[in-house]
Amino acid sequence: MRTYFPFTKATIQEILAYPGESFLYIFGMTIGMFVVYYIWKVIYTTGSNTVLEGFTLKEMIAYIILSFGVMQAINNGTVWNIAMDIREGTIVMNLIKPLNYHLKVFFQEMGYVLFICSIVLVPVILGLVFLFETGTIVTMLLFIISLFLGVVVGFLFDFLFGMLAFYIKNLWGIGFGKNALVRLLSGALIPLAFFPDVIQKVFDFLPFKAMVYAPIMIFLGKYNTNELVGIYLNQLFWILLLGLFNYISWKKAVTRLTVQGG
Amino acid sequence: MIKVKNVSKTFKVYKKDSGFKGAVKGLFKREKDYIEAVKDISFEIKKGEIIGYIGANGAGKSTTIKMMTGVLTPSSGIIEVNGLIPHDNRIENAKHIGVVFGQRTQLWWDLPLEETFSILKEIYNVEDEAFKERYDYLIELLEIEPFIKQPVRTLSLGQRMRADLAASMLHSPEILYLDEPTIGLDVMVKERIRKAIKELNEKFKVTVILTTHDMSDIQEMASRIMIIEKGEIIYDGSKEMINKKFGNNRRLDLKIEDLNEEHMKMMQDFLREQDQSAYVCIEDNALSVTFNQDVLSVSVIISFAMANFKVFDFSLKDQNIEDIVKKLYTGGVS
Amino acid sequence: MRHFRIYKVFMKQYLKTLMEYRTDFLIGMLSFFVLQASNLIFISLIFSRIPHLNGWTYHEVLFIYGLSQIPRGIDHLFTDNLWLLAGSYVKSGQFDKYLLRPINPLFHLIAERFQPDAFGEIIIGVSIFVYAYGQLGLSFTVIQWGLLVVAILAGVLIYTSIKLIGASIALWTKKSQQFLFIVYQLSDFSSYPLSIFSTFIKAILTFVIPFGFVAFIPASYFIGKPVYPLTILWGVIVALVFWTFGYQVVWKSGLKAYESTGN
Repeated sequence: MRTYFPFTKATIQEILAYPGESFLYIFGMTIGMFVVYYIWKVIYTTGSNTVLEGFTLKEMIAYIILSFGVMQAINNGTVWNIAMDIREGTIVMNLIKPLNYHLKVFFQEMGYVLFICSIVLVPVILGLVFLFETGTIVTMLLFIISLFLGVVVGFLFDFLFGMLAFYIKNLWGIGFGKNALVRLLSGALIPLAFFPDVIQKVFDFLPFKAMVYAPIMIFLGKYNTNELVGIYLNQLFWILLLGLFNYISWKKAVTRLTVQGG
Repeated sequence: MIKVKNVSKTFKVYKKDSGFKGAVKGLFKREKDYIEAVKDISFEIKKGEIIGYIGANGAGKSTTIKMMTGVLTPSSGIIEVNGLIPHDNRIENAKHIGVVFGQRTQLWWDLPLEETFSILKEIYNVEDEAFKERYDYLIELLEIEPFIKQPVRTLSLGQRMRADLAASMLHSPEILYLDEPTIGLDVMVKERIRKAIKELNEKFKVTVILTTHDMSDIQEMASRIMIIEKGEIIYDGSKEMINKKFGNNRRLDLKIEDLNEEHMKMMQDFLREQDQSAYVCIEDNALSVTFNQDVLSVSVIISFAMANFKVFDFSLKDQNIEDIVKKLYTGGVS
Repeated sequence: MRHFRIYKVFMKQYLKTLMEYRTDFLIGMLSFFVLQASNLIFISLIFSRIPHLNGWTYHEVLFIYGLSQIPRGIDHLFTDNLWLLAGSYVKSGQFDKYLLRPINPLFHLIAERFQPDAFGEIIIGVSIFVYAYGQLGLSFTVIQWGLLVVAILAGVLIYTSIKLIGASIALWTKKSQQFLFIVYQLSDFSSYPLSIFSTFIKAILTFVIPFGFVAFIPASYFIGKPVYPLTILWGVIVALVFWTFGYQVVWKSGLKAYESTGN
């Protein structure tokens, strides 16, 4: 494992090398958060309810802020790194080296995740717990565990998606659609509780809930112990299932690659 | 035609400490450092010359070329190309130059090659007749016909280089800038490209400015050599002068079975009669012969070696830039 | 005129390759449908809870949304290469190519790439617009249709200007793709009535990153509840101002900065 740490370091160094870009990025993210906040504020003040689908306005605000942060942690360059490697052929280099490509990409991605966590998520959850009074220290810790699991699920999903670059030339356009879909189905755009009950049942059969909605709900303390265990199991289930898909697809792709050439 | 007067280029660079801590520190305090890539260089180039512009990596070659093509603005000094200042009149200047980068292509990656040419015709606004003539000539000279319908991304490096060269000449430029045009190519392809460039220069009188760190490129194509080292031009003169001063040296490394001092002595005795400036040594498990190829042909040495030793491998290297530069510094220039 | 011919040549080439990569194109278009669908679902879910958003009804918001996607799609169709400027051309050094050709580098950059995937956005935008138009019982006069075209064109110019400014930042910082992403995410939410936002956010969406002028403000006029007098005219002015700023100021000084530092 230790051999892969340099990849994480490298990603962080690269981010720090362009402080201007990171600053603009966080600025843009903050504006976006405010925009969504105002939309929800109007919704709450217009209706007569102070609680919608079990969320008070305060909880909703916490939800929005967290969902932006978590979405950024999940939505990083993995897909593009892989797609670029495939398009440029450098993926072959990775096969030659005595490295596990999956681990390499994962550790690269972790650099970005750590960056988002330290700059955004950590201050945010501390602020939410101590200043804003949503969530507790306990839920915070449980959140961190779930977040990590969610990131792994997101990574495995993105990797599968990135492998499409073997078959589709222009992944760029599709990436937008995929991001929108994940954003919608993972709860990043709107808490899943707002979907019709029928649709909500489907979400358990999709990996997206595990990426964003699950950890945030844990933070807000919305699950009792039974449900909590169920959520963790669900996340682990997706890690295993997606891990399996990854393993099979990767093997197939590598064989195809070594037989056919770049 | 091209006048470069007292041109300097200094880059502002932010110094960063290495490693992770350094990267974090770099967020708060950044030391400014100034790199003088090019220091007060001056030269003039006349129409029809082929200039070999050599220097080690980082010596300032690319910087000079970028300034001459108008992509980079000099920090001080004047550059005039056919009366125009390149970075002030970039578009006008671009009409009369062709550029080939060894490491990047100017062709459209996904399109068939012949489509690139038709696009360039429009971009450079070449008249139909003139275009057809040039086009046919270039296709034949560079033997592009076989792969002209293939997408550029499927071409080998050698094919792509020939295509880039053709593309750069389609609009009858007066000046051709070649930045490392033979890098990464195998010997035969290099030969073809060199021949083509020479022919283009002879036929169209196009001025060629060629950067490289392959001495054979220079030997074969250039009549005049400029050497840049650490931002300064340390030599500007004819190829003959360089050869006279430093000899047209090459180095032959022979891998001999059971290599020993005996072999070295035998070679030394043999060479003494042929080329007094030659010397022999044993380096890296090979018998290394440095000789002046104007005086002694390599085949003579090889024949002797093969007749007398058990040679199982050999390699032939050019005198390299570093050697010449070193010699220039120690031996002085005149 | 020459520029027109050059553009034609690029277009011809592009259409040729398009035939080869038909599946990619269809998949790309499909994925933009998905993007549109997710935005629509968001709107629908909101309006399943509340009858109106600060006085704006569901169909009115749909009208705004539909209108907003049309200029977005048209801009996307033509200026997609700006994303590559933001993401890779400067970093890889490929940008030099545009400076070495005897035509305006921005024109060259934009003309080189055509992105028909964007038809997905345009089709959805038009469909929703037409649907909402019917549901709202609107009936435009000829002049209003004319003004609509003007408003859409102004919207296209605004999108292009914003993209140009965001991408030009890469001329200084080498890469500005992430920033452009976020700005685009912002546009996803900017089809909502500006009145719901605080003054600060309203100001940002009106004068700094003027997505407000792409859809909400002109739409307000067409629905019959104009938020400013001479709405469409203001839209045109804002578009021209931003284009001038983006091109003459940001792009050109970006080029100068690039030329003095190389890469």
